[in-house]
Amino acid sequence: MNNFPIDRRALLGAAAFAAGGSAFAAGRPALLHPGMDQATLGKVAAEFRAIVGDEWVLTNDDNLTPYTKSYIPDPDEMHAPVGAVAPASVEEVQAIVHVANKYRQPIWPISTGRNMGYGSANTATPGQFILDLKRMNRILDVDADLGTALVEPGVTYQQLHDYLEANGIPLWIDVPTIGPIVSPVGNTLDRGVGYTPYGEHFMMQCGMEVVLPSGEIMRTGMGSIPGSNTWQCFKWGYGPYVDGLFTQSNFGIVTKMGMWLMPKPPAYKPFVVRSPGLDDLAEVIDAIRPLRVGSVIPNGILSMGALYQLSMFKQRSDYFTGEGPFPDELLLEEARKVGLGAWNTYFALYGTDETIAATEPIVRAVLGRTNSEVLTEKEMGDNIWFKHHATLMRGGLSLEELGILSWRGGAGGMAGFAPIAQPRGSEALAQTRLAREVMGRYGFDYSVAYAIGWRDLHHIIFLQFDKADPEEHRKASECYRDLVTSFAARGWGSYRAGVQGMDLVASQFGAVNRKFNKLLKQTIDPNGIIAPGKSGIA
Amino acid sequence: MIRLRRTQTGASIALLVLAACTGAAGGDRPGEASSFVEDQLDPFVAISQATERSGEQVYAEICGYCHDHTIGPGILGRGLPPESLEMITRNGLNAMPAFRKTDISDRELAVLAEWIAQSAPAGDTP
Repeated sequence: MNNFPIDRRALLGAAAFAAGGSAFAAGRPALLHPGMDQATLGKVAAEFRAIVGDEWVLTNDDNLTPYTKSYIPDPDEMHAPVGAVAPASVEEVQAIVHVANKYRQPIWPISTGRNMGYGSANTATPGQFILDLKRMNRILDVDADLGTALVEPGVTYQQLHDYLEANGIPLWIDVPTIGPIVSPVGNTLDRGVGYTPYGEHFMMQCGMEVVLPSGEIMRTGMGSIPGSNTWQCFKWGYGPYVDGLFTQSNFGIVTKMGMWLMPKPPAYKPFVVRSPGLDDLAEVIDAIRPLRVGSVIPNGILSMGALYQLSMFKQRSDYFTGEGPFPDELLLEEARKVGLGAWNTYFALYGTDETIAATEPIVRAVLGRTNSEVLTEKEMGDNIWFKHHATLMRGGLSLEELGILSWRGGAGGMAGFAPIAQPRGSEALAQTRLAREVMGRYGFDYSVAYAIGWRDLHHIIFLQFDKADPEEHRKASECYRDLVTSFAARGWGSYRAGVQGMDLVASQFGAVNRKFNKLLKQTIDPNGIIAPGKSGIA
Repeated sequence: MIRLRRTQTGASIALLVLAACTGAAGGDRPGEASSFVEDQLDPFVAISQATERSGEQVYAEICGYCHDHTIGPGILGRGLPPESLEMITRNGLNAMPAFRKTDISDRELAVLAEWIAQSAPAGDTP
């Protein structure tokens, strides 16, 4: 386990280090946005204070560590904000936008700022003011009959879960990996995925309220019709469907978002497919694909690599202190000891006892033709990884995967690289081979989860390193860029990127696409005040 | 001229500032900012909103997910000093995330740190 020793003396010393050791601690000059100067920035901060109150504005004179701490490689410290402002209402957001326009000071919206593998609250370019929307945490509507909700950006999955529980509403949430401390709005806007049948979050989003860079408020879909009660019922509205413009982008600030919630099924049964060999994943993906495409298995399936799973609860040095990537033989041996295969694929069936009883034999017949075992709670009992995924696949809350940040010890470090693949075994093998080759050159371990979607694989690779080790930090930065370019050379692009790689990833999606995004940006946000650099759009 | 329709303190302050800013020269586009405010005051009412939590609640909703699951070290029942706990919560320690006052307010943090400091070891019945 990551249970490093801790005592009173260590706590006091570490706390002093944490406060004073940050590269962005109080007093250190930060890079400003081009054209900005300290005096003007001071006026911006003063006007922000007048809007939200002194307590809710932080500048470089304060300790910004809670906003700057991240896990991504950033050896040149190019992603630090100059401050943070935290409004409590949409009117305050509008007022902040007005000030930002007046002084041409960029603001970087965050919902909870816990985009862990992608930069947390860090900004794509230096000199931006973080717009922290966490205080906007109202749940505005939950319709138990329709299975819909309307929430503000600061509402966490924990808060929504607690509301449903407290009011006896039989709806489930669908969580990303670290649900308790992140928000549906933030995760959906970055097009994150989860584990239940509602795991494709943007697909389950319905209606937005957006503060545009002009300060105007736009409600998408059916939301702008006076008296409308169908805002959360019908996604498309009339005319161009624009909600996608406000995901992975910088064309506005989403201040409300509608979403669909899954009715709690009468019965739920989790499974794991345990594969003994490293190459066995291919036949599992090929076998499971028709079940997923045909919705026999309806949920977001996860094929977890054993190294990732071990790293949730232990550190690398608990197993191996040698040079180079973690040895395969050792990995298989350690996995076997704790009831894991080389790959462990988690899925679930939902419905009634009768429908599950009818479906299970079909699933078993198909997967039974592979070299892997199909196991349930009966066999896996208290296996901590089975319990973890059984929790996630019913929308349960957990932070256990935060443990992966500590794999290499020190300050922790992790960058997510997530290329998309066709859901074919041959494609998974080819991508895995390439990832291992690239990461191996830098001495990093291949730590991975494949999310098997309806027509895709999200190949989510976790580049784990120790940010406190300058050489390792630099190597991680190089390795990340190598991964992105090596995969793109084979035609494989990312579905998501950290702030350190946004420009690079965007450059792979074509000059015309970039020009189109730039044209939109210049038209909608002529002063360039909303999150310049987000997804490579400036 | 902007007319205030709401008495909620935050909204009123925001609109007063907005009114002041609208008239200011600063290279923005006059006319646009003033047109939207009156029509689009937020008409929504919360059915639920986060309120100030007890130390035990914050621990259960955030800290316990790691510190009771062997992801972070156990911190209950060890008499750890509140001032250090507050510092670490705000800055993180090693791979632990740093929590902002928008996540855990200063008042909540003070109560949380004291609650942890005074707590019985995990698993002990009071």
